[in-house]
Amino acid sequence: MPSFFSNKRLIVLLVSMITMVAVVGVSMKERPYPTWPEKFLRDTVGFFQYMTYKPARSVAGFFENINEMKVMYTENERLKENLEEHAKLMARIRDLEAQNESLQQLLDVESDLTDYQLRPAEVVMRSPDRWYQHVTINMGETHGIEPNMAVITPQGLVGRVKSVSQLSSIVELLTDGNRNINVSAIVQGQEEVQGIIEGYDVEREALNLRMVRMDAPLEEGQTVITSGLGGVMPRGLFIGEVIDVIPDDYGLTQTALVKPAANIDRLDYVYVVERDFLPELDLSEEDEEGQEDEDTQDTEEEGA
Amino acid sequence: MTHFLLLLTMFFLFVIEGTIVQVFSPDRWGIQILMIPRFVVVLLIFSALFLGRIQGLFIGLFFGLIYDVVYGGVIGIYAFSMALVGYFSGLTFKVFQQSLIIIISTVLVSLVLHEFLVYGLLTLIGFVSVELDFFFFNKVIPTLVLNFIFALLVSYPVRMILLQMKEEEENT
Repeated sequence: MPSFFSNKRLIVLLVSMITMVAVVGVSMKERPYPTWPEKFLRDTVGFFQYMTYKPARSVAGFFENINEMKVMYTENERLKENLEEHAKLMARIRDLEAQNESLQQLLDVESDLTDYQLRPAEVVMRSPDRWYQHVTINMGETHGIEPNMAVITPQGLVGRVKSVSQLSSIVELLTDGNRNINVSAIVQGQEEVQGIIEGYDVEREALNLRMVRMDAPLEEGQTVITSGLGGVMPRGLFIGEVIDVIPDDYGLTQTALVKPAANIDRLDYVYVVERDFLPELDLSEEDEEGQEDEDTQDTEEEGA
Repeated sequence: MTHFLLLLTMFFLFVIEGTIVQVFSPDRWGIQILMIPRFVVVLLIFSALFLGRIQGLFIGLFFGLIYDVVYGGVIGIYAFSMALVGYFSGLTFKVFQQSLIIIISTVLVSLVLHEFLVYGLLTLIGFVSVELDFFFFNKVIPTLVLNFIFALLVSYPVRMILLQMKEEEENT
């Protein structure tokens, strides 16, 4: 073996480079269900990672608690102030929910864009090079996780399920540099402004909300939620707040910088959002644009 | 037997890179610098130095593949970069005399080379778009500091074990 390498070093280098390019090319595209050796390796390593991460996290949690004790007093004051408002808000929400339900029953709507179920999961690993912003969770195909499900924390959206194995799955975070993760979002305000969350600004630590109309009224502090369009994520998941608005490179649209509400650097427990409705159903019932599109498609088909 | 021990140690380091070390990573505590633990690469460089370049190549390839698969990235990036680093750091003692300064500088140069290789490959396929100076100051230098401290800590025991392995190999 050694003589083979020393004599034909150049050929080996070339062959290995070609192999690398080929393997990279094959594995570069989205593969929500990896091959079985990969699944096996991920699940096995995931088990060991789970065994080491859990105790480490509890130790870290202890120190975090001590840290938090320092700010507890001021936080408590503030929370007390918020509590009154919260009670009022809850009453109003309950009222609105009841109203919404009765209206939906009246209209025979079985499900809408906001329907979802949550599955709690634990983070077992975070990829140490921050090139890939991936975490592994301890839930997989056997627990009913499917690719492209949204992943949230109680604070807000953090990412989506990228690929699933039997007992674990890899979550791609919103901060991932590669622009695979596009989330259709709305800025809440006087009027709802549509946009697409696309990419992360590392230096300003904010998500880019692109494709916003030039004349759309955007302000700092407006909240951004998922729109539920696109058929992947349900409507109403909180993403974050607008911190800055800048015009696009070509001046045709504007880009809003959105500070994510969830602390993406510190993920321990997450929820996987399971959408439990059929997207086809919604296009005809919920979304007016979708309705129009479908109508035009129908007429086109008829014409053809 | 010692071979198995080495691989087991590297696997253990691989596991704690993604888990225990992440608990202490600066960005978890709100500091925006990125210290990437490259403990497996450090051990790989040591084993390539003392066991030879071919072994370095294969150990690098093996752990590179594990990196690629487990972290859910593109398969081939780490396999290539780690195999290359294993091979080239194994060449050092062919050129230079064995001494502490040479070992230290090999570790440093190989770590920087590895970091740039991964950055370059990921930029090439369009997975990463980070400015070079941002990458260098926020990622390369802190990473180098962390891993260099690790390398200094483990260098003595690891060197002993590897020299013993080499001896065993030569005897059989």
